Amino acid sequence: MAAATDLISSVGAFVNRYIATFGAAVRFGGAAIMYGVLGVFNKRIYPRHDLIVQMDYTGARSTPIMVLLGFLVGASLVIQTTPSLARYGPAELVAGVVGVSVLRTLGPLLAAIIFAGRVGAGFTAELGTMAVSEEILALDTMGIHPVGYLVAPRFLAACLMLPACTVLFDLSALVGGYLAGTQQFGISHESWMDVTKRFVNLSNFTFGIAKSFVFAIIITLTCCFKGFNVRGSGMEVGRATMQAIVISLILIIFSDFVLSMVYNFLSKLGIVG
Amino acid sequence: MSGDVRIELPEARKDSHLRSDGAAISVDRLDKSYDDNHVINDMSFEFERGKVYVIMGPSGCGKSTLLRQMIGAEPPDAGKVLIDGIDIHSPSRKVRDEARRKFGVLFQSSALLNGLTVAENVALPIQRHTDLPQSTIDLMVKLKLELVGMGNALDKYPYEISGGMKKRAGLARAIALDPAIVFYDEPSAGLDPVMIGVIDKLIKDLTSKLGITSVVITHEMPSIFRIADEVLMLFKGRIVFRGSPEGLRNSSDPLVRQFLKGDPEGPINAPRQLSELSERLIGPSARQGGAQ
Repeated sequence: MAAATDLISSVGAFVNRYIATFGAAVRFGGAAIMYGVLGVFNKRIYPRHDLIVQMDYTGARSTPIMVLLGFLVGASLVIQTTPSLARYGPAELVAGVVGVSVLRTLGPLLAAIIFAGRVGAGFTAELGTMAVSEEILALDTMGIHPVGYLVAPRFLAACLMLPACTVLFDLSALVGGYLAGTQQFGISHESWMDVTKRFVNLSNFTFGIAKSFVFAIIITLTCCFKGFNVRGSGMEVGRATMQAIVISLILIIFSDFVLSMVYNFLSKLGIVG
Repeated sequence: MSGDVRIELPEARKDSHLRSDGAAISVDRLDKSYDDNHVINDMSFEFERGKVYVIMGPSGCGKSTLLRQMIGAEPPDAGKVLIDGIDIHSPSRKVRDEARRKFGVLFQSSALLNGLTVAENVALPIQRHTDLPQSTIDLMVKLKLELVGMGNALDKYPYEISGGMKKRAGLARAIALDPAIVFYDEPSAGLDPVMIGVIDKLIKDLTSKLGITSVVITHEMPSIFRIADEVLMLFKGRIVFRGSPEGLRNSSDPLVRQFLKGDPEGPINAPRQLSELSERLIGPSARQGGAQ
């Protein structure tokens, strides 16, 4: 009887803790979005300079890695797919495969994963260190909303810069695929462009960019929330960073799945192309 | 007929249950627990304006928790903290912000924002809470930093300055908006004796020259006797002594005597902690064997 009571009590405490964390995360997300929007009109919420700094950190400094990895992903996709395709039909079809898979799924997904590793981890580590050294508490006691001051510019910058990084990643992957297809497998420029035009449409691209916007929200809120809630020592910062990245990746891949289902459903209804 | 005359209170007085005009800080029946650990136990006191109050006590006695309650960093389980008559734990953020404008905090780690220069750190609360032009803010920042002897470090980043300088810069930021109250969390932690003396003098000067109420959490006995107008000693979440530094020195309370002497034997349970430590190090069986 006592064991059963203990079990029920433990389960209750577990559920209670998770509901409380979920509630806190929702409040945190709401505040970040609200202050992100308000901050555009009210310069007291966060300095404009901070937004520029964050856009530089999240976007401009991510450019080399996005271009490099995008190029390599596009090229390897063609190198690995073309021989198999050539056995069953014209090898030129690989241009369509690359175009659709990169723009619709691989580009947004891989750009978001790179972004989570580079930028999201940085957010958690930076905010976690600030939490441990009482800087976040200091802002609060000065009457400065820490979410508005610290998270809003990061949130806004990530929402603008991840879609931009995704465009860069997509372009680099398409260029990488094109070069591999034309140089390695002798596919002509005309065939490549013709197949690409037949397979790829604008909605593939816009759907990918819309997904990257959702991924930016997920990464920023998860990583900043974990950073804000670091308690104790520097060791906890490392643990929180690891957790933030794992949770971000799970949520990104899960939301990619859900959004793909939604896209297919809308496609069947003829709402999207 | 005159007995029926009703006097309407002005708008500001309608929330009179939150006001306590005499005291700078009023703590009323404060209670705080973490799981089964009752850290603050039905605590009540008031601090007058323009004095230096020192809160001391052994580790784990509730000093830091009390400070966190007083600055509104976490809500109490029960009770109330009024800062200059305003409830720091009010459900309204506007009211809490009004209370927060009444005080500054010097944190143990200084808590300067590392991405900002010393001058930008001090300017932050002024920019946030006033409409002053930048030139006036720059002048105010320079004055505050000169007040704490940091006039030559305006453009330095926190990671470029020493621990003592960080404390002084943190103090300049704490007094940036000319608060009525300044809280100091272990201001002498990690500093050399000379720098401790400098910080003590600053606390004393700011209190006497600017009429600030200072609340200092510290373990540093020489500091306590140098700066305190009144001392509160906490033990197990309760106030066990309140009085002048002289009263503290002459107290016959065994808790106070042990704490002042730094004696490991006494009512403050260091022996129990030591026995637990030895048990962890050599194991209970070895201890029992030794006793036999």
